[in-house]
Amino acid sequence: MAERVLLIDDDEEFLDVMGERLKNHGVDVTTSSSAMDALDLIDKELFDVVILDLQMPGIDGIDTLKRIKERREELQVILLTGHATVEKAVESIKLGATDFLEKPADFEALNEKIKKATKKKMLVMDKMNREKMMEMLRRFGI
Amino acid sequence: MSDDTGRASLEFFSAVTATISHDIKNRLAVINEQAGLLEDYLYLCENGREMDVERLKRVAKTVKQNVSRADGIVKTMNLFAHSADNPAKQIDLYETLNLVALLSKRAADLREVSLVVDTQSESAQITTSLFHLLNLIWICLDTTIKKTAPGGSIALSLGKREEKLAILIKVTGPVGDEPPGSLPAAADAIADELGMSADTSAGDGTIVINCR
Repeated sequence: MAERVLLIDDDEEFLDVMGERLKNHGVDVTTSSSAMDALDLIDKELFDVVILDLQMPGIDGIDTLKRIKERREELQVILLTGHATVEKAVESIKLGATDFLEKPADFEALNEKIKKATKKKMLVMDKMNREKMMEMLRRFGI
Repeated sequence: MSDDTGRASLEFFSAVTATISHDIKNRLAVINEQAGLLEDYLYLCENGREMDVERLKRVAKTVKQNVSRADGIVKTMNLFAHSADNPAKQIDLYETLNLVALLSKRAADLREVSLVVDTQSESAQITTSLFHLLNLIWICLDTTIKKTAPGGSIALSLGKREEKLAILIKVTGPVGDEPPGSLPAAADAIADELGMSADTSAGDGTIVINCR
């Protein structure tokens, strides 16, 4: 099954070209040039991975990352930015980002990270489902 | 040069070069993916898919457009870099306002604020340090951007205040929640060194830089 990716970047040209490339490589991709619109999409649709620009108008990438994790803990977020600093990378990983890539990125490396992040999301979902099941069993005294 | 001015100059230089390198990287990222897209098309052709000439033309055109945009960014960087060549020289204030607007565009975009250089402004020449004047206008504009609500607009224009040539920075759209405050101390320090003054005394939050 194709990885479901939400690509968020305020650069429309980057969205177009990266979106087309990801599609060419079998990824089911949705694009958004606004963090607020992207958060609405996350509330309505299912994604495996979010690829997120760090510097965006309105809400910045770090704030968007926090809001994504509040909504969907299992969703894997890869930060892709032209504004990479070690401090930002550390901060974003602490906040739950799966990975951090600098623009211009190596497409094969990004594609590989999407695949790994999708597998990680499945594992997180399995764990969350197991925990829910255990909680239910505990509640019913089983 | 005072410590305040020196520190402000370094902060200005750092902020502008960080923004410019970020903008260049964004253009390189697009060009990089466009090259990748051409590779994807070639791969498909090599594997029996018919060549879509119109698609190739479209990608080639957008590569050129992005190279042109990157060239524009580098030209702005070059103008900025050469602003420190002379301690004082004759400069065109209208061109200076345009350059500051370009240097501040990213900060304004992130705040969803638009910058407009008043094209009605009559051109005026003064002799001063271009780098320090850019720094002074940049600080004043940055202060205004932070006070402007998303969707707002800031006009940069030339005018007269008490018969003196002045640069005016005025919010023409919604103002943010932050109350208009005084300018950072660095603005006064730079203005002093340039023999100018900068204040928000216009009453409506407009920043006025009195040039001479």
